[in-house]
Amino acid sequence: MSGDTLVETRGLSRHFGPIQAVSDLSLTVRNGDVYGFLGLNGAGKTTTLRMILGLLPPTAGTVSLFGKTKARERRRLLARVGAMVESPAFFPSLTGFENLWHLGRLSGPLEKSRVDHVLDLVGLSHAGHRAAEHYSLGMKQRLGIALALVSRPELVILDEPTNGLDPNGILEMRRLVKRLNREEGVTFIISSHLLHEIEMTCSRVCILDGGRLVIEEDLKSIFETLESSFRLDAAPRQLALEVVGSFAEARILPADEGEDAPIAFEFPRDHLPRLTAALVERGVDLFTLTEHRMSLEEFFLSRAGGRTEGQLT
Amino acid sequence: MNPLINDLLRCLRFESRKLVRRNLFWMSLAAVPLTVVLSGWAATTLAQPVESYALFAEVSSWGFLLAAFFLLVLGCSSVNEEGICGALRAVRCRPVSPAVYLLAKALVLAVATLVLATLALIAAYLWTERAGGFHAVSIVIPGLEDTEVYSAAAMKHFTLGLTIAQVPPLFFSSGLGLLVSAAIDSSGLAVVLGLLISAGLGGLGSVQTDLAPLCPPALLTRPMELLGELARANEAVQPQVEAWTLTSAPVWGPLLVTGVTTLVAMLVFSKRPVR
Repeated sequence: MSGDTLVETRGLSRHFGPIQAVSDLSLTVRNGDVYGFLGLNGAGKTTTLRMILGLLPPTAGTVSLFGKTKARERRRLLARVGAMVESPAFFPSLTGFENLWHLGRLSGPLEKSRVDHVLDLVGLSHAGHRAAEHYSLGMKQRLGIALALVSRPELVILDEPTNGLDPNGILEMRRLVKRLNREEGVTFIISSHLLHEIEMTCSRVCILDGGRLVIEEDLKSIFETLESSFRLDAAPRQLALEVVGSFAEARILPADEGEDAPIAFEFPRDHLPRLTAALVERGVDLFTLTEHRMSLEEFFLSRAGGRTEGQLT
Repeated sequence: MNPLINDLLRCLRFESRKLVRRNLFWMSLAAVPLTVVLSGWAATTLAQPVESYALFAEVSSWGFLLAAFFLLVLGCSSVNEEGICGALRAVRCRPVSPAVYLLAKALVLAVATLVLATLALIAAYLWTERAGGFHAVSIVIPGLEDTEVYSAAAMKHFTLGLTIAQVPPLFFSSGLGLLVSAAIDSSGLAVVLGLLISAGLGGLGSVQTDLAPLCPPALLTRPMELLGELARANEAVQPQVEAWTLTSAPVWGPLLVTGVTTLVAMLVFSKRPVR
């Protein structure tokens, strides 16, 4: 393991009675990553995060945190980690400020100005001295994120951080993660069911299915390998279809929006000039020719058992 | 500073803050002296007039009994309620040792124990003073001409010794609550189980008197009963009263059991996965 690796699991497994929640999971989170954790309901995401944090012992395999595998050493290293797992967790009878202050101090020295700063960062400075039990769902989520950030961690683990946030809150959250990663070099592990958020925020993702690792890859590399197709809007449509079909390398795809919809086809990108020239030569009026790339959601569904969207977590 | 000491100090401050935010704690602070005053009023108004030491013994025992109940409930709901609301996850994601975290809880409950015991005693003392105050006691031994007289100062000395002997069982109440709370997720069930264990140990201590020092709940009223008996000129209890010192088994027995109970609670808490 290189010194650049913050979290590494090898052959990590956990079962609850007969249910295998996580099976032989090996993954690596590097310094500076914004690591997206994707999986359907029951895929083993939260169980894995709990094992990484030492909240749950694995039944097999190892977890390495900042290069240390022994439980006692890893516990001391939790001072460098901020986490919100499952749901925002805090003491309801204490105020938001008191929760941040006392829990933050368990990780090491802390100044009150830092607590004020973090409350301001998550937009809770107006409610810092109110008992946390009176917070709304969105405010509790913000407080949970603030708790994860208060002790200036190098690694932040956020489980479904956008749950309960309004669109503005989600946008602020995305900006915050990107800014802390860029300016302060904070590494993030983010589990989310909002694939669009993962796509917009993360630099690296892993997909779990049934407790097993399906893929772990840089998001950029995934997008480079994603299949792409083209959509051609031209008239007359039948003539355009004939021209496209005359190319041996073209594969016409079934029209997904009716007979008047743009023609969908797969075609080598570097042969496109030949195709457009042939269309113009045959008198076809070209309106639009656009590239359609598979989204992360389509990729995820194709890899994670191809189950329905309703089962996503 | 040693990191463990540092962690313990931070946890102590945290636990103190949590305790003062618990309604049950404030309720106990009000209820314990109020019970002492009400039992004193009942003893002096509704019943036959009683000797001042017997009055002190009776009213302080009621206060201690209620304090033991509140401490048991405070202990029984101290860990599992944090688990239910998820707050324990926030603690266990931090580098502090679970054993240190629980030790801080035990120490803060011990301070709460002292506060409640002091309140019960102050209320009992003030009520006794109001009812006539402490004075010398004569013990007449039938058949003999001699009358043994205990001065007011001697009686106060006995009273102090017996009073101190009442505090260790209170520590056990909170320690037992902490252990049950660390082992059982439901605070309601934990309170019921804590009361049953407490009553069971009390019963065992009554039957097996040689085990009584190690069965703290049995001692909750016994020292004060002795004082009351002495005040009623029952010379048979005199050796027992004089035997109560800080180093006697009825004092260190409950403290020892409390220490063991707290250690077991720390072990259980450290080994349990967090919800």
